[in-house]
Amino acid sequence: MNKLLLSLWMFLILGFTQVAKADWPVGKHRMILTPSYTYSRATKYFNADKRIENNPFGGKFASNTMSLYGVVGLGRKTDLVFNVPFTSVSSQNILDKQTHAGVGDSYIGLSFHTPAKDLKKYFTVKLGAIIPLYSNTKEPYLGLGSKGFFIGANYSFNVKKKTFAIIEGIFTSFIDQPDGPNKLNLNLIYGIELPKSNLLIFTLNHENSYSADKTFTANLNANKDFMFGSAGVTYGKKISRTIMPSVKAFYTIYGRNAGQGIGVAFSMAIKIP
Amino acid sequence: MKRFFCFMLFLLLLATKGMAKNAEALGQVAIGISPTEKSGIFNNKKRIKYRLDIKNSTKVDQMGALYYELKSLDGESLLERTFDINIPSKKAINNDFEIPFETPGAYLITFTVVLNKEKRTFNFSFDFVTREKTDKAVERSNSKSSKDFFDAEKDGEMEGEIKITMKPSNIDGIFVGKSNIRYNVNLQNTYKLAQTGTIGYQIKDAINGKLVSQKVFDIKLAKRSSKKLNFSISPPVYPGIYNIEIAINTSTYDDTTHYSFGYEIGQISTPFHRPNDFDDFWKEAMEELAAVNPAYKMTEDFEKSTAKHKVYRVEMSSLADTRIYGWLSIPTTLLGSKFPVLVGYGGYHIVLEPIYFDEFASFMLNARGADKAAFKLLDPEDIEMIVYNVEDPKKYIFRSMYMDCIRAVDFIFANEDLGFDLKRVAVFGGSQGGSLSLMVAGLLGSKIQTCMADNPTYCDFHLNLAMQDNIREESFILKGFNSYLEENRNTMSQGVLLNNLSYFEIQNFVPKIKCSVLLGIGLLDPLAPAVTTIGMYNKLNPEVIKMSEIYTFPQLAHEVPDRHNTFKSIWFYEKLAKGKK
Repeated sequence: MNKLLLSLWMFLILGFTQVAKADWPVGKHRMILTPSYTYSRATKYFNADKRIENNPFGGKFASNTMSLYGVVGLGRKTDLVFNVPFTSVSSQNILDKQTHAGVGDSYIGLSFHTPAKDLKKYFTVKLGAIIPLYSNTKEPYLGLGSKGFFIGANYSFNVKKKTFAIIEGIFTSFIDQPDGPNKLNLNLIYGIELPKSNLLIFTLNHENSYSADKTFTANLNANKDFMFGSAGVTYGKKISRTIMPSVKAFYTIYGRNAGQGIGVAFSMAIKIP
Repeated sequence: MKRFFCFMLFLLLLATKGMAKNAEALGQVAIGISPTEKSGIFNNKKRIKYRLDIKNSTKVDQMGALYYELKSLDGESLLERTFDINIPSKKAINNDFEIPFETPGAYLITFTVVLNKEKRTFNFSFDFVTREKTDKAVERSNSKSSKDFFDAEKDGEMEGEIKITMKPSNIDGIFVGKSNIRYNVNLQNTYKLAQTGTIGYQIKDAINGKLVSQKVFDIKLAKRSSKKLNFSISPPVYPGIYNIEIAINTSTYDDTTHYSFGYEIGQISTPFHRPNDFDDFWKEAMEELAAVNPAYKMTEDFEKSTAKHKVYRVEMSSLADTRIYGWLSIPTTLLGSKFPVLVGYGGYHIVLEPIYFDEFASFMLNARGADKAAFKLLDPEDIEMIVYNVEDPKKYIFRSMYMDCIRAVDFIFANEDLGFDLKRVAVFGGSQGGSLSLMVAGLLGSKIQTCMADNPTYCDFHLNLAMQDNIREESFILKGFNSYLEENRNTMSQGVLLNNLSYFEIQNFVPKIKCSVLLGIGLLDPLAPAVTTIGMYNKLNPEVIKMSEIYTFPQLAHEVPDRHNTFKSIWFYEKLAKGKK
């Protein structure tokens, strides 16, 4: 049970390590690298009936993740995107404590941006591959340990001056196992550019993971059917032409078979050149 | 059929008579039409006659046509006629002309007079009566049928318009290949009355005004309604820029709107007019400039500086030791690092202010002539700058102005220690500023990383003058040259003028450009006609064209849309991301 919740929690936090801004092309010959650190913990979980329960035996899950997220402008409308996380997860209760660290689920893909006539609204299609740079030989697991792919689309636009919004949907499928899972993410992002190079971003995320295997078990690969929704808020400040540090707090609002917890992420977007 | 024939005849007359050969000098054309019977009641003795009064106060002959259409009160077209009009300069005509119609009744009549650059429409109503029914006719003028018309005017039924919006199937108005050129046309009738009539188009070559194709369609528009049409036009035979005139003529409205499109613009080839000593001419000018001590003086302007930008007024000496100045703006976040610089040039008599970029330093130059008031101190005779000393290319003000622009880049290269990344220097501007950017990129070659020009003027003076009859609006450039030639007709020929100007034609500089070029042009531009700018662009080195881009805006004249300004920012980010290798 602990491993299950921990692994589900891992799904939840991995999506939060990027600094989200309007998903516009980064520009040919340009690059944005975003190293980040994310800490999260959960002492409760949403059960199969979507009710919150305390983890048994005073269970506590924590993860520390260092990631490198990058966007490389291949062309005026095409970006290469990648993310490589190094994660340390720990599961602890009054009886036991287990820790596992390593490179987690990495991904690499392409984003294709289609601008509107005014070049201020973009429709983006993204697709890519998920590559697990580990094998699930030691618990707690770092992820599903399965190759996969994702395909998604978003629409980013200025709601009004100095604000932006992104509406996004992403479908992800893990292909090593016959029962997947397949996941669907829906994201709503609203950002406000404040005076003096400050940035405030609000995020809503909903994720459904579907699998024919409905079994509720502690085994990571055997339990693939869950759902959760979360909210986050990010504050960033551009301190130079190329560097913008930010901090993000996030919280799970609802869920089913998912950990319920809180997390914080620090990131540093570096624009090159 | 009869209406169709008459309208076609009208269009044909317009095409054959064309527009004025010379742009109008100062003066106006006064046009008036009035019934010979003020009561608007005609009979067998007092025939239906109208008086045409035209006074041509301009210095050019006025040619065109008079077209009228007689209709019943319910809108049925009964008679149409077209007549040629030719009024010599400084002459007037006062003619009565008769409408050959004798059927008693109440009618509407619309007159349209089209002259070189004038178009006027007049609407009248009248009654034609037999003698014995005169009294009744007078009575009828207050009776229902006739009164309806006047009531309609009173009630605002005659107020309105037919709005035409026309969009090319290709958003940039550029077509290639053998597929038909398509336009989506939307007609909106804002009148409270139904409209019947015709809509037609004429396509003419932008250079010589030669009619390429034309077509007329009948239209019926219900009151306060819209209608969509599609024009499918056979592609022209030759590459070029083509003007489309859309003429609409209905019961109570007529208007002509203008659009342009380009066909196979990559193949547009216009002649060079490059003097044999062009390179020597500019080499000498550059050497003369190099001999002038620039004596740069930088002073921070604390009023223009902001929390994010330091702004300096930079003064320097150029040809003839003339002091010029510009505004250097450096984002504070860039201080202490190497950063790219955009050098901006301004339009004709436009004084530039600092521009505040986030990621680039900018240097906005005010070359001589930018400040009109300052220029007048040099020019007490108030000679238009475009022809100031044009009789001698070595004294022509544009020679010095061009060198001022070079001096601005000299300043950047002489002050690398300020943080300027000399591998990332760009030039940009619109209108004359676009021309100056292209000229600098041509003269300085590999010193410039990218060049952005919107609607650059002066690309091809020869072609600009040759096609002026087919440009709807006389630009300050043409006006300046035409006035100059008129005033100096005994000492300066057009050939000599053009020969002098050929040293300053932008198309002669561009083959030596080594950097990417971003060109934005309005296809309706009267100051920088699209065929001249595209002809210039096609003279870039083929290797340069490969990394360059051209954007056309078919519904704009001497401007570019906001989205192009957004794109220019993308362009600069892209092209200045890396320095030259």
